[in-house]
Amino acid sequence: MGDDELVHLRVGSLCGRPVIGDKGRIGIVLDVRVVQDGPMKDGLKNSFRVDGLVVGRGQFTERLGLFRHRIHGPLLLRLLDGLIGPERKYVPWTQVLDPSALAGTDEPVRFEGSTTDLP
Amino acid sequence: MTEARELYVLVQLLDHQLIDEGGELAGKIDDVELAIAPDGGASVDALLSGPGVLATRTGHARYGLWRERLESAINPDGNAMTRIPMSLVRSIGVSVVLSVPRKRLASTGSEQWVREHIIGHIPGAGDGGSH
Repeated sequence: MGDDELVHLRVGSLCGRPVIGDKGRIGIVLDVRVVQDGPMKDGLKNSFRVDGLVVGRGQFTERLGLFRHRIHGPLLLRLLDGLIGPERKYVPWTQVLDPSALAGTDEPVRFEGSTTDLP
Repeated sequence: MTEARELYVLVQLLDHQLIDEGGELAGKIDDVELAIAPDGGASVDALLSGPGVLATRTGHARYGLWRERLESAINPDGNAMTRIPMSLVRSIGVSVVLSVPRKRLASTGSEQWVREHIIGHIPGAGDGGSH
């Protein structure tokens, strides 16, 4: 595929954008999850395919460094996460509508279908 | 079957340290560029590092753009990369190791320019130890 067919989008411009589904706004883009199972690039290794978006309301606890989307650890920490940890949802990239339209604009991210729990 | 590696870009890539082929510190990852194909599929295409890129990410787009253009003017031969294709990434861990020397990156371009054009002309500048 030629490079001129590709649209480029910076993650920095994607994060913080409102995410809107069938039921309205559900939060903002907090992160982008990628998986190294995409097509081979340069014949050497699999590319990092964009798998989905982590969505939530606010980034306060992430900015404090207390939580990284979810907690893995002792039971006490997981209970703490359940009490005060912010809710995070996941929007699979395949459900994002017209992703190339996100480049060069400040448009919100629109998606169809339902969100899922973080993988 | 080995599971494919997964990463959260904001948590595990952005602001992480770049290390060049010689083990030298080579700046930080200021942003990540995605490539979106006509079918909507997207993948990580390049890492971005250098003056202006971080400013653009933190909401100072006008300054960031100006700064990126200034960097291009300082390095007209195009050897100072702001955009690091993923093909030049050797490994990703706590730091990201590249397969190019740091002098080819824009993140060190300003430092080199100041060293050559200002610091280097100060009497006694050549007397100190290099690092």
